[in-house]
Amino acid sequence: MATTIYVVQTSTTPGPAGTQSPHRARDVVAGLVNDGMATLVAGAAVREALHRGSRVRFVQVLPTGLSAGDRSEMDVAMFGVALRALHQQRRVPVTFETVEGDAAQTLVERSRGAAVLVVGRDAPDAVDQVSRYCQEHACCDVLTVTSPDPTSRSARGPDLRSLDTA
Amino acid sequence: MESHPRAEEPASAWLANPALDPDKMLDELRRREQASNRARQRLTALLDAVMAVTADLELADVLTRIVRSGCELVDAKYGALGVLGPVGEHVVEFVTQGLTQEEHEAIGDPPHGHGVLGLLIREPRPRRLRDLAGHPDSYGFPPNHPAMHSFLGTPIHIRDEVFGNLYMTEKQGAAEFTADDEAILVALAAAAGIAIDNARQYEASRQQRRWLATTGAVTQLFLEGRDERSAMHFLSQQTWELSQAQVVMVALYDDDGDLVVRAVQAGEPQSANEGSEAFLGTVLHKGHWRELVAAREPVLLLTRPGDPTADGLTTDVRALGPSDTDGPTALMPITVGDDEIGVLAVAWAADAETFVGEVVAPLAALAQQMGLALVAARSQQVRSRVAMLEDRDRIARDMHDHVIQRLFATGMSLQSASRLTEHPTVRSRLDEAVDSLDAAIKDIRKTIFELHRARPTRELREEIAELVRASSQTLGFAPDLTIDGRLDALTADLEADLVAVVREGLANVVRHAQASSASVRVVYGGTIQVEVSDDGVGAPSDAVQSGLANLRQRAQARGGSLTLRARTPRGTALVWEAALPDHE
Repeated sequence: MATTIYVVQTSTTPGPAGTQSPHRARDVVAGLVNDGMATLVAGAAVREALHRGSRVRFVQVLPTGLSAGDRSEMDVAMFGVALRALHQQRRVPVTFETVEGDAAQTLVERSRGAAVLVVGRDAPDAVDQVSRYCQEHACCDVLTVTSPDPTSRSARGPDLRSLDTA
Repeated sequence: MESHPRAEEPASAWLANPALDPDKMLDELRRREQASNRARQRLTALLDAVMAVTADLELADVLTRIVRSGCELVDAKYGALGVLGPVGEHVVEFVTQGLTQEEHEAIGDPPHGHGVLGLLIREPRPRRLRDLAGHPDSYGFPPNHPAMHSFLGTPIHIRDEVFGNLYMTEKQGAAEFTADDEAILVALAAAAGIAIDNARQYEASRQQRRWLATTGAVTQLFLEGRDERSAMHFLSQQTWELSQAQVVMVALYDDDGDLVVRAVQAGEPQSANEGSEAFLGTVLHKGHWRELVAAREPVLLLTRPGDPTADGLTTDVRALGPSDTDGPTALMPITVGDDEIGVLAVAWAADAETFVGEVVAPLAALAQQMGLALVAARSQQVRSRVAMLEDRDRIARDMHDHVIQRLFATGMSLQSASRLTEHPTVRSRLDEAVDSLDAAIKDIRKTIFELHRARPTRELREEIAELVRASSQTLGFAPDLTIDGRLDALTADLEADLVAVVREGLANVVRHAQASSASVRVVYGGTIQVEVSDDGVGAPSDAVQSGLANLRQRAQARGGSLTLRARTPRGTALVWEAALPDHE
């Protein structure tokens, strides 16, 4: 079984002051994008939140221009990924958000005020370098998740990239 | 600047000094005796304090006693106990001693754990300071805060966990707290940890007992034949009370596969739940409800003011009754094996974040148990119906194969005998007997036909349930319905009587009672009994009684009775009773 490796990019810039109640642990944001890493990202985010005693915000970013059917299908698939990550973790509070737009910019925007943003590691041949952009621009720590066996689909979760995005 | 215990003077140093004169020795002895007495008094006081803090099991009282005892033991003007949150980073509760209500209000929000208080959180060990303001970690005091200088603080441990910190300020009669004060406070903190642990465990076990009792009661309701809707209503009420929620909702899949809201509780059970009743029957078709139930994973949603968006699940639940826009919402799928039954949803106020985590586990257990009870009750009903239909089939078969054949053979025999006899009277009698047998055979065939086409009992149950459901729109609340026992022995006209009694009884509640709750109970035992009761003001004496007279006639025609009696402390009960056909 593949072991997940976590790389923490500690861009230690704190979030804007006063955006969180001072006695409340700041959020963990799970950036779920259509890169086949959703299962690992969701699982890592839940574990991180459990450790910090904080909330997980599952932020799913969909590309613009999807048909209603494709959008719904991806939405359902990502929701299932998040629920599976919460298996036996009933006390971890969560929210679900689905946004259309540029994945990297949206995640940076949505992770303002959070403690940590969890994203999947960019594939070497990926056009969108989401994790690299987040590491460079996010106001919080960025936890980049990868797997030593990149070909293992079962470990990586659903890959919805074959969906027609026309 | 932090204080440290002074190096102790060797106990025998003065005895070893040959130059010490007897007066000084006596003074020293007196001083030592006084110190010994003081130590004994403080030890006694500490023991008293330990007894006091462990004597109560209510956590709030225990915390207050700990702070008060701490102040008394070390002569502090002010004391406080800061309870840390689950992660141990921040103070989530702050219990104080020595501040007046006005001072509290003037200060405003309690501290969250910055400054010197935060130092104890980061490094949980006793601290003794001569002047708070002089410490490098000092964060300053908020406006209107009383002046505080000397400080003594110590963590309260429960096993390996730091529960919180005990803070004392303003030593009375001295500029700073002593090493003895520190030792005493550390000892008190150790006892406090045990007392708090006991109180928390007691509260947890008490809550667990209440949840178990509710789970048991709901299961019993289902299995004793309570109408499914009434049982759901009871479940939502109990869950609302136990979980201190704002809205509780139960939605179940119907026969068409729609997830339909079956019960909503959004306020005190005694108060009118009118707004929420309107949502009964709502189909939850948006959002991820189906995926949630299919995934069989309980989820704790938490939205906060300022969140970019709220998911559809949260908004669906919070729209069912008066509730905060944001806050925790628990969604518990109800499933049994492969069967997806529905979902139990609970929404709390925005400030309930601190305790909902404790409620999620018992809620999940309740939902699971409810699913089992629901499936068992439905199976019981199906079995009962199948048994009844099989019984009817057997009776019809026996009548057709045996009774009719015998009658037919007897008729043929009589017809033959009639042709053989010469006597006209005998022949006439025999022909009459044959005609009677023919009529009897026709009657039996008709009965067999009726047995096969007779309306199943479930339809009567549903008809009564529908009457009750319909009345909730005019009453403004849902009456409770219990059907106890099988109703398969009732004739069609007795069924009609039953429906008439329920309808008239509920109509009376609507017209006259001004009630806030009502119940309908149908009991099948040696007799059939219908009781419609309410907690209203009762019918006025000049009310038209024709409906009741009609019910009385129906009861008397069946050897039964109609009784109208007042309930204690208020309300009316209409009891209609009739003998069963077998007992007439």
